[in-house]
Amino acid sequence: MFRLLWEDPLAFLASLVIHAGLLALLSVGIDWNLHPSLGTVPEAKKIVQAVAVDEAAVEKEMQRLQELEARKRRAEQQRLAELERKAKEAERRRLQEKRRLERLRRQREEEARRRAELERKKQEEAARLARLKAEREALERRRQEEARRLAELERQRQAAEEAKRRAEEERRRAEAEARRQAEEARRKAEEAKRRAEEEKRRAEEARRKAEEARRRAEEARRRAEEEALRRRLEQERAAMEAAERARREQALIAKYTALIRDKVERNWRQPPTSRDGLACVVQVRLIPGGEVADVRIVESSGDRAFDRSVIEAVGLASPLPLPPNGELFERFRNLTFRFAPKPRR
Amino acid sequence: MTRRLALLLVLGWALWLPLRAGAGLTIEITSGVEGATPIAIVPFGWTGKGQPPPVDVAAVVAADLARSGRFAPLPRKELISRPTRGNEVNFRDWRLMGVGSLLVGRLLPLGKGRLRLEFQLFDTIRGSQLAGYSLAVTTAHLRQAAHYVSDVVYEALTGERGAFQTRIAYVTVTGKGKKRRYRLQVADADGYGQRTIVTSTEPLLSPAWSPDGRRLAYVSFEGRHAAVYVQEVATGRRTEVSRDKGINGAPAWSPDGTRLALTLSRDGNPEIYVLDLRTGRRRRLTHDPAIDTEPVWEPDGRAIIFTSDRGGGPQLYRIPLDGGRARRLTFEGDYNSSADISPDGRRLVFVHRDAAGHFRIALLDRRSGEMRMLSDGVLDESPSFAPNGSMVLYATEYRGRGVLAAVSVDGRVSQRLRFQAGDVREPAWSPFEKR
Repeated sequence: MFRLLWEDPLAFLASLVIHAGLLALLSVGIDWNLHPSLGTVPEAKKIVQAVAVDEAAVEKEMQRLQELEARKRRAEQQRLAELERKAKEAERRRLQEKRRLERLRRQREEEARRRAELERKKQEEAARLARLKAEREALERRRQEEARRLAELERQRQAAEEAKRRAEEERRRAEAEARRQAEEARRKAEEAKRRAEEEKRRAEEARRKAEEARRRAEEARRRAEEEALRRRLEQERAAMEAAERARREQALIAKYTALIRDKVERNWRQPPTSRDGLACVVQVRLIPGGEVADVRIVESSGDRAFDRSVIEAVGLASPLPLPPNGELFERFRNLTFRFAPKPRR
Repeated sequence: MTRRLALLLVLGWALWLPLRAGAGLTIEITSGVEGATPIAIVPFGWTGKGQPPPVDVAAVVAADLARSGRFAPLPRKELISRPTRGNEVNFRDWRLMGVGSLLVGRLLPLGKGRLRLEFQLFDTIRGSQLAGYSLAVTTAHLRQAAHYVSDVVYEALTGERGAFQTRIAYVTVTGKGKKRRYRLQVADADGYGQRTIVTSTEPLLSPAWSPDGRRLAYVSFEGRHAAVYVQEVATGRRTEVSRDKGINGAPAWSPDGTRLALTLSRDGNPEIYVLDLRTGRRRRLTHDPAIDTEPVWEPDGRAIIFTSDRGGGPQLYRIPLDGGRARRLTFEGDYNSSADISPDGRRLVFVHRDAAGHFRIALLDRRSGEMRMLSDGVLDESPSFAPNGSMVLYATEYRGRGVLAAVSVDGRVSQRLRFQAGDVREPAWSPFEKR
């Protein structure tokens, strides 16, 4: 409809005008068929027949009815006058109407003729319109067809394009995917390879390291064992040497202690006063070579002769015999002598 | 494991030893050699002109010390040097000579027969002076001064007082028949300086020194009767203190010098009496039918030790002065008599007859009861302690002649005293001079 309006506004307008005219003709016709009706007036007398209630009221009602009757008569006279005037009027009007009807009949004839003409024109127009419409429709159809075709074509083209695009896309995608996958695969493969290599390298490294560690551990263990053995041997040797040395030193000390004791005893002039229980302790400092450097009484016997004999014994025994070459001199540097005679028999 | 532990122990011990070395070794000396202590007594120097003094002080000192038995002076020919003062001494030399003590000294003329005697005693071991004095003396008393030096040295080295300035009393017998003379003599402890106190044609016996050393009590048979006299040594004045019938013998001074213990037989049997010299009163101490004689006083004066044959043979007994029974002290042998007691009361010396029938001087340690022989003569008698208890003087026989001998209480050194002639017997050692 809008498309029509859009495509052929003049036609549409024309159509509209025609339709409007037709409608107007139709409504005038109806109006012509309408007849006025006067039969309804008696109805009013029935209303006046009401029942009076009281005098005043009746009076009043009578008055009112008289009034009403007067008014009705005036109205009737008026109405008759009116009707007279109207009958003349109606005569004049009927004449008028008759002329008007004549005119109208002519008019109607004219109209009919014009309407026939119009009809013919309308038919022509309609035919034209129909033709036009058909043409237009055909055109439209063609156009639509064309459009459809075009659309189809377009659609096809688009589809093709789409398909192509899609295919291309797909292809590209596939390619990309393939590439990607290939790349990925390659990468993965490389990665895997790298990993594998790495792994292998690591494993190798680990193995190497393990081997190294094992070797080192072995080495360390071997060394530790050797060291422990060496140390143990060393310790044992040292201990044995120390023991040997200690034994030897002890033997030496014992020997020289005995020699010293012997020499001191040979030099001790035991005083006749040395009674049982007398004892004197002296501390003696030697210098290398055994010379007595100092004699000090640390515990007197209480008997001067006894103490004196002790000092002389030590002093005159000087030099005291010491291990040769100054060996163990430190052991002999400070000596303590305890002089305590054995009880007489 | 045990081996290792042992090794460790040895190691620890070996390590510990040097630590111990700081304290040094301790060496026990339990026996020495018998014998006197060597001492060097260097001849004293003489700084004057002309003849040196007549007394060889060093020789006197050396003889004194030698006689004590405690010291062995180095023979002069062995002296390696002759210092006379400390600054001339090389101690090491003397040590190497085996001498621990060294006496040096010198005499300086002071004029008019007076001298200065200087001497120093050194410890050669420690190089220190032990004693040193300087004193003025007359030439006449030089010998006594020498004994003084001996005393100083002796005391410095032994801690005991020397007895070299003391004297001895004894009886000499000379001549035969009518020419026989008994003399009570007094001499220096070394026998020098003898002088006669009493001369008698009759026997003189039992001299006894008063505790102050001024008087002698003795027994004299002059008039052919025994009597006890007390005579002042210096003046010769004497007092007859006991002339009773029978035996008047064996006087012994009480430690306080107021009484004499005597043997009297006035009651028919020799008994011990105590005579009070101030009052002349006598108190009989023993009452026994046996012979009781030869009393000596305990140093504390509260008991008397005497000889009695109440047990059959002569033995020593002890009886308290304030009453009580006599108790026997000697049990070894069948003859123990003539006791003397040491100044400290701890030892007794007496005549003991040994198994061979020899009369010898024996020493009894009263605490241990141990008895030792001090002499080895055949007829040794009259033992008498030196006042310091270090020696015992006794009478012995030498070549048929009575002589005196001194023996150290350990019996190690015995030396005869030289006398010019005659028998010498009945010795008695004086007490110390009062210092």
